[in-house]
Amino acid sequence: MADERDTAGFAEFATSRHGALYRYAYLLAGERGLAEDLLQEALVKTYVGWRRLRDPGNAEAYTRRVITTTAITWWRRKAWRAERPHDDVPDRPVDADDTTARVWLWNELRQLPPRQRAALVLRYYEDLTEVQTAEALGCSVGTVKSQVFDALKKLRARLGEDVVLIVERAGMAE
Amino acid sequence: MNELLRDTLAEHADSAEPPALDLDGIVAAGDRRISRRRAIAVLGGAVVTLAAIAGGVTVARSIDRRPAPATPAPFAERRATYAIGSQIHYGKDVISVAPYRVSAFVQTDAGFVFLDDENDIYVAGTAGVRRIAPGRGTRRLTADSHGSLVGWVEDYTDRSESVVYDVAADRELVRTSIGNKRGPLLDAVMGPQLVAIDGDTAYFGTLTGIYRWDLKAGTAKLVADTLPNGVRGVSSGQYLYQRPLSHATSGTSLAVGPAPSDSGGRTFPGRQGYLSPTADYLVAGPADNQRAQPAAAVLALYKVKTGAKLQLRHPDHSRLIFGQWLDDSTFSAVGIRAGRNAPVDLLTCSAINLTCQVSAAAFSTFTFDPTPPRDLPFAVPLGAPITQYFG
Repeated sequence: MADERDTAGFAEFATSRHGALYRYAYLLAGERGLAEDLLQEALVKTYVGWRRLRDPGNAEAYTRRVITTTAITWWRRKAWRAERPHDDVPDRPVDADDTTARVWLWNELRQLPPRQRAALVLRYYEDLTEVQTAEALGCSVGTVKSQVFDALKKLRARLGEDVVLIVERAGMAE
Repeated sequence: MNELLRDTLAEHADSAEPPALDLDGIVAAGDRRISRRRAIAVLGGAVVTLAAIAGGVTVARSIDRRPAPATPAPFAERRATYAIGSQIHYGKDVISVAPYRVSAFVQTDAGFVFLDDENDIYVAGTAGVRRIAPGRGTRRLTADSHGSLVGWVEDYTDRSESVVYDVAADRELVRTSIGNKRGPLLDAVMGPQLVAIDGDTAYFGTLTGIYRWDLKAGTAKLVADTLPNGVRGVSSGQYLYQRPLSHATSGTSLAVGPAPSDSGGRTFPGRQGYLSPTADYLVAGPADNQRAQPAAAVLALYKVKTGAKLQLRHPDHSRLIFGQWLDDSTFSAVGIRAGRNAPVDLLTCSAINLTCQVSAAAFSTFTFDPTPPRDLPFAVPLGAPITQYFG
């Protein structure tokens, strides 16, 4: 078992980062119930490995990576794809501007394989660089580039080439 | 619609209110895993060292598949068998494997293959006891209903390897990591397992699905994209598999058919099942993956071809733990008498007479060890310990 000091450190980490990690899991899973399951599983694994991690910075990166790899593993099980319910009603009202496009884009994002979705979320929600995204996904920078390229290509093919999906920010692609 | 992607992601992230943090539940689940890992001692330092020496590279290979030399098969007869401590009770014969303790075992024509408390793998035969593989996370052995082949899975840091071993010839036939490469962080809910050996074919339950391995040709084919235990067994070319195959844990019922699918085959109630060698009969019943595996349960006997349930009589034992098929229509099982910590009897049951006879009365008790890994004091030739996980 973890000793009391370990448990207290983990509790502090989990309490402070729970919300951000849940939002990341939700963007990957696209559904609240699955996001809860993903986060629960990831936090259990982080707790088990807490003595190794120590630094909360490492712990957050580790937990995100577990969320990602677990999502990918679950995605391979057809049950996730077959049984996931529709759950695209946000808790609070969305702006009128571009509402239709955003609802549509959200649905299209949910259809992407989780590795592509993870690459997009890490790059364009977490604002990680390609190098950081590669570290988070445990793959090469080249793989990140191809995952992002493929994902954006699919989305553009559905939405139209004239729509600006993303504006690259300076220094984001080193 | 500039920044449409960023806006959409941010909008949905902001809309997702996190649920209450179940810290107590997370810590309790984590403590259970830590206890289990310490008890099982999976992936110790020695294994890591060996993996490093091997360069972490595993290539699927078949090793010298020449047939084993013709030798007498001293244990070809399947008898009602159980093991307690260092003794395997093979019918009326007792085979001592001291100083080792049998935690799980299977029977082959050339001898009994067993795991000890360290999960090292041994053979007990006419020439005594010899170790054939060190413990590398192996928790389950698999054997055919006849012949001298046995299989298992070994765990390494970046992969698991499926192994098929010929006990008579004392050599490995297959060692492959097909389907079982993994990242260092992957902690699969269900680990890989060697699902079945059926004549010249082995079936590997891997992280990426079920592979059928032709032992003569040394070739593999993915036959089902399902969990490592999505296929429960294979006999005479007939698959016993969970239905639906895609279920994320262990399905809701079982099916038997020439190929695993969600549409074909004949469906039977239950989640644990055991096909007879000719696939004419099925013993099946409920399972509880959260409590004990394999579960002591109300097992039912079915005629596979018609799906008919046969009324097997064992009035003194409400629940059974399946043992092994002794021939095409007879199987052994442990009968659980009523009452807490009650004695257990070893039974021999006939699918022809539909009766069970006591082969060994009160040979042990249905009492799980209170300390992890919480096994029963005895083992039957299923290849895995009977373990209580929770409650």
